[in-house]
Amino acid sequence: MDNYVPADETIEEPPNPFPAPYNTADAKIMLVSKSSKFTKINGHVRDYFTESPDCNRFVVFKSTNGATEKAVSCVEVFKQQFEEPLYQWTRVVCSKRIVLWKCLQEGPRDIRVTVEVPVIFIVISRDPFPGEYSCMSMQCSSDKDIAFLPVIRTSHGGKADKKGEKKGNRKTNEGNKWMKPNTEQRKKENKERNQLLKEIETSKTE
Amino acid sequence: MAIRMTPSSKRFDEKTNEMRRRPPVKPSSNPNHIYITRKTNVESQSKSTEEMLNNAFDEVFIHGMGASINKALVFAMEVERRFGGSVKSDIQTSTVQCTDDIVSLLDLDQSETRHRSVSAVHVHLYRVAS
Repeated sequence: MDNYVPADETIEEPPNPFPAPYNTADAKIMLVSKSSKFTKINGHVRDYFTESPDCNRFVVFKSTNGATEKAVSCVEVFKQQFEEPLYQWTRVVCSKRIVLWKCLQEGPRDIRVTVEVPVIFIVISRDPFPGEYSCMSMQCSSDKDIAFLPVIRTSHGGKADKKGEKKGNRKTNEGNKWMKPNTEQRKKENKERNQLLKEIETSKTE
Repeated sequence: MAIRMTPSSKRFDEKTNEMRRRPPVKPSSNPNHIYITRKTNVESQSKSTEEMLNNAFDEVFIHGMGASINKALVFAMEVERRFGGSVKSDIQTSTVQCTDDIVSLLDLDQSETRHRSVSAVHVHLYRVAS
């Protein structure tokens, strides 16, 4: 690529993937970039919700230039700070960044590179979403668990969980019936067997 | 004597103390739960996930935390792209509580814990009934 230089760069922005009224022109869209500040964005959204509570019922967060983690963090912080329960709907779409590399030498063709960058759209609404749009990408700030996941265990770390799952004690050989019995267990088993044999013999003689 | 931390930012002296991060709680240890980290290779992981969806499971769960959220989304979209329209996704976000141990290098018996909130994304990829 030594003889190539980037000549042109175009970004194909994806359309808002949500249905009406979340994709209308007057919908409030917060663009979150890597340099955005939580306090500024969340303060603005808070003011928007409080200035006219009857009209302003939802906000759309959209990540730009691959700042998806920032957009998610922004929403999570806002949900924790806001007093009322908030309803969330998350969707991810792709934006295309097309870069045209021109060759400085004559002969080789120009190269067109297409990079797909994920763009996250998150609707934060004060009202529940209509039933016809119901899907598993929706959640509420009062939900404790993720809807499609199994119940999260409370213990920390992977090793601690495995320890709890172990059956019996290795040294005392308790709980594992497939382990080779130790001498004490064998003596005990022999005793029991002999007692049974004696009982059978005495019952026969009677 | 306890480790001295500033009350507002909870900073500590890095010369005399060391921070040890505990691994975060995993929702499940099943093989169809994939945890994306900064070190994950998206290309190889998407190949193995493709095989997993073709042979073993009808659904996989992708989890990404903090700085690897973007990577987790790239990975989920890559798997979706490989399957065309036969695989669909649901996305939810959450906040995960992480615990750090701050151990004094001068006296190893001294330690304190600190909690951090980290944003996470969970993607449910599943086969669509044709």
